[in-house]
Amino acid sequence: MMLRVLWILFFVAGLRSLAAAETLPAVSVTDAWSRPATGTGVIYATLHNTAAVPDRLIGASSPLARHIGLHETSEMKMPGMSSSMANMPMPGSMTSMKSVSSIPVPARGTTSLAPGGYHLMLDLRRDLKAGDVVPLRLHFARAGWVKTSAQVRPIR
Amino acid sequence: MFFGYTHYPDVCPTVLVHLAKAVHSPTTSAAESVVFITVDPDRDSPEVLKRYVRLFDPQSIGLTGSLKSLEPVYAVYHVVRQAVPVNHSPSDYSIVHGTSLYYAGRDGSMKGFGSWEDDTAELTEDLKRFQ
Repeated sequence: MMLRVLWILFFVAGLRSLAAAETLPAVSVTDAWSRPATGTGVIYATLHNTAAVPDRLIGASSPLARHIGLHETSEMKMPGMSSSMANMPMPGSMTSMKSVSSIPVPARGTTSLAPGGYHLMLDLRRDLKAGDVVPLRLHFARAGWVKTSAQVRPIR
Repeated sequence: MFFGYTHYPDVCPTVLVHLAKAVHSPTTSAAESVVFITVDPDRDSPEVLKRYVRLFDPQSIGLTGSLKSLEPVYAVYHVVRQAVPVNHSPSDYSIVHGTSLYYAGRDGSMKGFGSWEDDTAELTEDLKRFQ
């Protein structure tokens, strides 16, 4: 009897996961780009989620990078830190970059990875020059792995 | 003139791209050059810094040295810097630092300040105004 109940439970669980597979969120990546770089590189992109549930970017990999970190730049305006130099007021602002465990992509929404905000930081295996293409795989918590490639844009 | 470090892929390159475009804009005089001073002398050796600044503009100047020799420079320009560990690893750290841009004459006299958020057009205007 106990065994039979277990089998039924397994069966129901299986059906549920099938149903979940049908409603997996569709996440896509567009406009991935980078800059010429040596040592440390960056990736910016737009993440689109067409599903009714939120998703999260949780990791990334590329054959051109030893490691890719998810980062967020934050700026701190520090009015108290403002000072003056040569009798001119100096703006008081600091920038810092922190490592984040995930980057949220809202339900039926987009998240931009853009200068001054979220970005991917690459520990590069080789230098990037304008015109290069960086193959990328982005790992989302629900959608799984999504392939894309980033164009290395010229500086000027 | 701008303070930053080569392991920062976001803000420092963004500023250096805009500065390179502004310095080479047809409306500015050809006399300006970009000076990038590291806040991360442990990782930014002269070789690393040279390769880095030349990505943006072959004429720009990168400056590094021992932390001891740079600290008085940071003090003069009111640059606050603080190393912050990333991922709990001693070799992996980021540096919180001030983001002002400094417009100086050839004699070192201070002409004005800018922000890292200034785009190419704003920087070009400032270069003309402060030259």
